[in-house]
Amino acid sequence: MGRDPVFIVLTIVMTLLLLLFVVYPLASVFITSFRVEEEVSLENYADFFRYSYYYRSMLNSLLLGIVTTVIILVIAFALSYTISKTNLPLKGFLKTASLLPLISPPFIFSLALIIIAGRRGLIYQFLKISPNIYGWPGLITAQVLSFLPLGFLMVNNVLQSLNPSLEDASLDLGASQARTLFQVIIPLSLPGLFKAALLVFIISLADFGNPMLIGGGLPIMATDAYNLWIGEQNMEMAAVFCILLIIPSIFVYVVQNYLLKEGSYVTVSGQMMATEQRKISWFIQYPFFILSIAVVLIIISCFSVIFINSITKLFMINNKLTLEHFSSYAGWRALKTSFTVSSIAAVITAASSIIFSYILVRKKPKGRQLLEFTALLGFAVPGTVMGIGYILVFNRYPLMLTGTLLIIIINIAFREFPVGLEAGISKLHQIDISIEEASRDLGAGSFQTFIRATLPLMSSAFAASFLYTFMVGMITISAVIFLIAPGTNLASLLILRLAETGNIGKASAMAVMLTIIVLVSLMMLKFISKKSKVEMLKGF
Amino acid sequence: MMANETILELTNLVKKFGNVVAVNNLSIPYIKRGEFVTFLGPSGCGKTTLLRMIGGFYYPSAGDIIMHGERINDIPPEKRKTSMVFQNYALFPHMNVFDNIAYGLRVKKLSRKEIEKKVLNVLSVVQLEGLGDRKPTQLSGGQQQRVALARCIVIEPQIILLDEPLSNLDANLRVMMREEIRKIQQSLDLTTIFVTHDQEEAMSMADRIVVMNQGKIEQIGTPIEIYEKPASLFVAGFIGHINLVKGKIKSRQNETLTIATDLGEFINMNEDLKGFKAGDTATIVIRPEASSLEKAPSKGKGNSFQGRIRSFTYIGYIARYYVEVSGRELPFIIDISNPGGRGILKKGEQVTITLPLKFHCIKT
Repeated sequence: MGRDPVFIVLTIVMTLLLLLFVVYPLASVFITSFRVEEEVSLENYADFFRYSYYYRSMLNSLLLGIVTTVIILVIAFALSYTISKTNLPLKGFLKTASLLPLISPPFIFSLALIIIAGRRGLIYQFLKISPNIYGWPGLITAQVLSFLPLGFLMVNNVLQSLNPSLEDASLDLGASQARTLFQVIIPLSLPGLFKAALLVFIISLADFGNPMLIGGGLPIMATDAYNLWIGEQNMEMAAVFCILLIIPSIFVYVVQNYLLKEGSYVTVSGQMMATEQRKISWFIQYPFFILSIAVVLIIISCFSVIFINSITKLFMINNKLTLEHFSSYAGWRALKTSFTVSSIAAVITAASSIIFSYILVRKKPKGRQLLEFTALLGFAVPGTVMGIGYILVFNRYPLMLTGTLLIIIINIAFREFPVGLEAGISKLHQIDISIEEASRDLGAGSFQTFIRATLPLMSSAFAASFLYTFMVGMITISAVIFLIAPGTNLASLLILRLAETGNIGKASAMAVMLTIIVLVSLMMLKFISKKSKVEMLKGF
Repeated sequence: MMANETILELTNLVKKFGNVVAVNNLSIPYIKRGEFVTFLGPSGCGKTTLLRMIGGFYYPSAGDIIMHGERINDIPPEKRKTSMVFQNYALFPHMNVFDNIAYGLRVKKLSRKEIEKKVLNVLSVVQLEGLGDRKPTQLSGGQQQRVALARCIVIEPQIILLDEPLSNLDANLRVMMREEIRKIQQSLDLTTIFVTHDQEEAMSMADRIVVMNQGKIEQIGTPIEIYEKPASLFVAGFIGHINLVKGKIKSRQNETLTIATDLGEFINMNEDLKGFKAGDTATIVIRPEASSLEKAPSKGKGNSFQGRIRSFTYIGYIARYYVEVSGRELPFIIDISNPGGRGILKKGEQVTITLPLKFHCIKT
């Protein structure tokens, strides 16, 4: 296909935007981390590893990540096994309930845990003992519950894509079910489980809301970077934290996208035969089942507790039903701001990711891999890092953007851009190229072909990226907390502030409203991706 | 153990998946030790479902699976003395060839030495000596097939089940593996059930063929019986080429039937057709190679009728003629062997077709 000037210009524009809004902020963070009184030095890093109050947060973050990941993998495997291999009852319920955390702001479990086991929580009211939920126990529980859906979806996918005849073959050769589980199913799932583990690990590492709310002062990298910046104005050390946070994320994404693409056992060729659910020995299925039920019950209680808190005056002390928590002026204003910001960001992401995916797939520009990787950076890098990068870059002439809503919109748009890109690319792979060739053959130019033939076919990818970006925009905190101006507020940030100041009723009400908005978007998203087979959240 | 012992018996088997009846009240009275039985039928006829019920992967909705006189309906696959070669081979990708084959033996807790001996032995049976260290992905399709077979026979099952094992191989290899499987089966005297949709495969390998359609058995018989005496129009049409002529029994005299058709009256002296009496409707079943073809009309000859050659294909060892016959929509197909020696008839030529004195009929 000929080189169309429109696409060349678009490619250049897009490249420049990526450089400005992804690469430049990250590069600034990188440079800042080496700055000691206007000179380049490794002193900051040396300080980091010298003083325990710095490096302890790294050890804590790593430990938190590992513990959370291991627990999630075990639960996710139990859930997936129960759902895809046994014929126990309640499978649909288990599946739905374990995915519930997807539709809530990621720190909702911290909020719920504080309500249940905080200083004046339900446990205290009932038993007059005050469990110390702040710190490790609360943080691990909250993270496990928050990120369980991610782990579950990935592990379940692994188990379901295992060729069932391998299991059949094992049983056929006389192996017991336990033996089949340990010698066939688990070893074959390992590459997939490893992938899931890596993702859960970096998401735990990047998590900001939970450590903020329920960390109880435990040094954790993502929140410490924030405190260093906001509290101590120590931007060089904050930058060091950022760089050390980025390294594992980038490492994981590189491994995910370039090394693990092959090497998985799930793509065994040949026809898959649906195997009838067979009876599984009780000592295999019941431990898995009971664990799954227990976790799901905890998830449901957390949601219930939030809901009850939002509609009672002061739950357990004054149980009068009320809607007053829903009628806060500040709340509605923050919600409106969030809504506006997320919608605009979503339109930008959806439109640009469609155009750009088209260019990447069909025009195959030079350096395609590099462009894709650059775009992915925005998504892969923890929000805290992007937030700090944006402040570094956009608080001075000529791009004095901090404090405006525009910078928040841009931040959300560029962070979710790779997800939209993925949706666009997967949709394009479904559209036969001969449709475009036919259009060219009938006399339409390259750009006209895109507008008239391809674009209409990609409307589902557009809708999917729009909804996804919108959804994430509504609940994100880590990056935007750096960028928000005094006097304005976003719904997700407001929940955090309300919860921190003990205003649980209002925080719960906001959380309920956010959950409903996200739920509606998610249902629409699911509907669209089911109808149009647009692949979303692949790497997510 | 008697040579003629019945190993497997299926009675009134039914398998439903929701509302779909995959296997519909089907019985196989006996499968004997050492026998090679093929389940043959179009895709969706229930043959694989039936095989998987025998292997224990599906549980029957009704009916009995009886092995050595014992009902095994509810016995899970790991307790059954059957072993399967899966269509996609289902080799464990995380184990090498040796470990794949040794898997079933380790399950049985055989000693290390014994396992090694058996695996090496079976590797030589399937001609894969020296490939024990390879991973399945490093093997060709044919080699993977052999490993799957080796893994299956090394545990010495009572019955081996093969689910379209050759369908993933290319044409030449398929023919080779056919002969090889048959050879191994005969030398080890393995009772074998082989599922296929390929009639040539079934004909060339099986002692007996079970022809299935829509979850039911159409016919059980030796390849010769299935080919020469199809029990139904489905079987007749499914195996090879066929000419069908509808007719009515006009009279019966001892063993001799006179059949009236649109093409004229035919005499049939086939003594196997005892069930027919005057007045029955019967469809005449004639294989392309069974009738003869002569140039120019020869009047007054028995069991013959006139036609005109519409087209032909020359295949080498035969020529296949499509003959137009008045009173008949489909051409009558006739294969003539050694066409090179006999000379080829031209398109448009008038010919006389003569049916044999004994031919097969199906009551319709």
